[in-house]
Amino acid sequence: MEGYYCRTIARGDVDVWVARLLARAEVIAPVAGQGGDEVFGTVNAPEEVLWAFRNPLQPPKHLLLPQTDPLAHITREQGHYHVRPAAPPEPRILLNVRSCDAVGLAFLRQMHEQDLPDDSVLERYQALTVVSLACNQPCPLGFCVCCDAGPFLKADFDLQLTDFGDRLHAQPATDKGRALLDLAPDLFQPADAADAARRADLEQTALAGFGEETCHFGAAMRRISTRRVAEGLWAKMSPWCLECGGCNFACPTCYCFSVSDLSDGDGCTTRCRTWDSCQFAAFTLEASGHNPRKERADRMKRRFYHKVSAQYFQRDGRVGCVGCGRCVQVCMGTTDMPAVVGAIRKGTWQAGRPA
Amino acid sequence: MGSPGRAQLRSVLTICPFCSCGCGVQLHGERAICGVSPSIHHPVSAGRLCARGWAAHEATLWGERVRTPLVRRQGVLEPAPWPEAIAAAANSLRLLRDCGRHLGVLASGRCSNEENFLAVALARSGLSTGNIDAGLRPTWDALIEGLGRRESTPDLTRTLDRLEASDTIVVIEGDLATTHPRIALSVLRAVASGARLVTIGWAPTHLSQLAALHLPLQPHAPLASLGALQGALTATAGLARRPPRPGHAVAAALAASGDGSGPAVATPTSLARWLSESRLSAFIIGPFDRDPALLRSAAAAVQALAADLVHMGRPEPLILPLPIRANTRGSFELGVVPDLLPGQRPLIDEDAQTRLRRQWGGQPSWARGKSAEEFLGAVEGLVVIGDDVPAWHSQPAEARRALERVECLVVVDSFLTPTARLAHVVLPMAAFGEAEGTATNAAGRVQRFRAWGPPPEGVKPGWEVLVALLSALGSSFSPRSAAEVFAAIQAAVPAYGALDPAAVDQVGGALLPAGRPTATVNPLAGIGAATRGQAGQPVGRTVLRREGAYDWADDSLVTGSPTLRRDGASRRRLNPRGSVAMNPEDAADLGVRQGWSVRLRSSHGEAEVAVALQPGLERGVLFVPFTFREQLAAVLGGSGVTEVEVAKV
Repeated sequence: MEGYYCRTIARGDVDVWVARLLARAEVIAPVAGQGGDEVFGTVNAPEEVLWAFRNPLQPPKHLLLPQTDPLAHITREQGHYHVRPAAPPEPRILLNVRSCDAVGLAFLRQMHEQDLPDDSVLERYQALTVVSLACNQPCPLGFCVCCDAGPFLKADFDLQLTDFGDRLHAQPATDKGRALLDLAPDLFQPADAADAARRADLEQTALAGFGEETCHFGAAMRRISTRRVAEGLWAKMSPWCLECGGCNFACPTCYCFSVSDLSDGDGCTTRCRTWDSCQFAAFTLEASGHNPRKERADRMKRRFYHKVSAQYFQRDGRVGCVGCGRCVQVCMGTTDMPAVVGAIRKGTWQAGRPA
Repeated sequence: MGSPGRAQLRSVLTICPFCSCGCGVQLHGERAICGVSPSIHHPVSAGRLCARGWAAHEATLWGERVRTPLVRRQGVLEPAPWPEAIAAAANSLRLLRDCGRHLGVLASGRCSNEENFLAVALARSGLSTGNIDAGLRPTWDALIEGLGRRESTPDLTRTLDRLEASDTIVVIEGDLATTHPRIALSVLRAVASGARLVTIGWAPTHLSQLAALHLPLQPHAPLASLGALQGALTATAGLARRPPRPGHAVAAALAASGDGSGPAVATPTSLARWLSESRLSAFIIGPFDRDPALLRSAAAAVQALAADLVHMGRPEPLILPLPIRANTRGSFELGVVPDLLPGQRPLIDEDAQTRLRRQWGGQPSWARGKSAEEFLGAVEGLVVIGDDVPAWHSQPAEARRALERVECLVVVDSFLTPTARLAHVVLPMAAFGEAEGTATNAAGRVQRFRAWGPPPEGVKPGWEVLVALLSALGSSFSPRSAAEVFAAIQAAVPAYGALDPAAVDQVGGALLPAGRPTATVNPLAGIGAATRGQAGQPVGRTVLRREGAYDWADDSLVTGSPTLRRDGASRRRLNPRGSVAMNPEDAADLGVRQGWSVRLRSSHGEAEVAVALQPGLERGVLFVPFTFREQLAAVLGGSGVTEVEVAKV
């Protein structure tokens, strides 16, 4: 931990600091949406920022990969096609993103660096300053501790905030993060050993807050990777999946997409990437009519193999899950990550638990 | 679609425009609408959306949008300015009206309450006709008529809670997991807690895999199962006047339930026993067919069963009839029906007439009109609002021919649908996420649609278009905002008038008060309806039945969505002549395999079609999915069921 650069700021001064962030770049944070829902939105005034909140259901991956992602504009002029890339991203500050989501963003960057680097995602990540807010208590459905994605982080952030109550502790990890602290040298004090101890305490308390039965990936990973998943398990579970795609859409680490062209009716076509779901039958349907994953059981199996099998863990150094718990919330059936991982470990499927 | 100035990431709370579950949706975007996520605090969605809900924004962006009014000149639809288009439509319609020719208005469950109410005003006041209807109206109308609720509202408070707390659930369905996924989720949760599920339908469905029992509807005697059930229940009535005994007789059936191994082989007697012992039971009647008589009889049978159960000392079961689309129920309650006034009032109700006359001015027509399928072929002037006729019509080719014969076809829609392409005037209206309005879901929640941004330049909110038409037709009824239209609805329809408009703005909207049943259902009526007319069916012949009430694959909101349209589009492309579901043993006897062609011949005509093997289907039965009814129109001959001879091609 870079103790030298850690700072604290009095709670009463935080809004002043946020006002300076607003002057520097667009700030996106959890804000109060209509109907009592928390959503990520552009902040116009410091008091709009939420500090105690339920994690928005809409994952911040949409800042790297929007649900409708315009990639290029195509027009036809004087008999030729002209292709213009979408506008480059503006700098943005993502404030108060939860630990799990910060790891999710880093995961997406990593996935889009491999093979053929995806400029669109990488440029957006470059332009983004990730300010995470460590979680002092586990959220009701979260299991980040099982995925090395929380409640407190050692990496994958530009600036990590911890709420002490009377003060915020700020731990920068990058130049981008330090630059935000440098906006308010008058408000931030160096953190001392007592602050470090207090932070460590908060982390221990948070870790102790997780229940026993969360989501034990290791055992499931072993079974998947050594082909010891119980016979017929997927066929037993698949009737409980209603194929809504929510698990993919709400997941911070899912990034499968489809491509469609959007017409503005005025001669300009925009090639867009759109979120897609491997749980949809049409996802792998081929033009011939053949579908390699025709059965829902096969599609479910594929999803969990991709997320949980050892080969990806070995390649990426991470499991394909940040334990945010969104899939538990959004599942239309009862086939969320902890339930399925539990089924793989135990070899039996216990039909759903009410969330 | 875009907003000027610096782009802001922002969200509005609205409701899903697809089915009648009415889930809450957060609609997000920066420069334009970008995507959606479920509303967590919404009492129905509670953080979940089905596949359609997750793509709710797509048709607005990708659908073939009408961006300017269109007027047909020399046979071609051309852009025209608004005043010219409105005048063209109104002048033609007025001429036909004043010459006493027949006119009609079609609205739909895709329209908001505001648009539907104005459609009724347009028909009865603007065009002096009682021909006002929605294509899918009979699918809801028949169900609530069978429940004795045609002139009131059902009591559907805390529906999902009660459903999840039930220990015996009977679903009469056309695949509930596809038609109403949110309701299917509640059924799943009940089963996960130990409830016994019974599915009743043409063929086993997704939910049947988790059912303790599947009772097939016999294609030529659909209600025999329900009749038998009622008979069995009456027979067990004498045994059941004691508290429920868990375990013992039902243990075997319970052991077979919920593990995905499929339904037990059991009989209506088992179900009768479960119902008579249940602590809390629920009946869901999904949109399983288009025949109103069948739907009415099914609902009446369920109502009779419920009455029997209460008579036996069991608590009153939950009965949940399901309308197909987001606002099918609202459209009916606001008067989009040829033989009722807004508020489900009889045409002769003088109080209702007075209220409406005061609001609409002039001398509205209180005439009893024809139903949609009836007046479609009999009108010279037709206004179609927010719907594509061939998509719901039981005979799409005939619907198209009827539309072509209309002298003045005016279409008000967001999309250039097949219906719009045949129009003389097309008036563009705002799509999902572009205008305010309200809709009434299956349970009677009146909720608000919100706009994330304005419609594209040149496109107006639907209510505004309809008010312009009304004015051009000489009406003095001219609300100036969606809110004023809602105020008019509240003044005209007492049940809606009882709602607090501020409550409608809240997440989850405001629930309509439950009315009292207006018709008493004879407990024995169910048996009578179920068994009447079933005698004398020849055995040993193959029966072809059209399956289902509507196929979302043909709906504009789906065809306009790149994500959602893939399944239907590929199915159509891979089966250009359609397909029929056939029992694998029947196929083996015929010597055909999956995908092979067969020739079907009935007294009406013949056709060649591909075979789709479906295990679990009754022998001697073929089902054609609703979406392929056009390919088999010659064989079906205008009916939903017919006998056929099958030969390998």
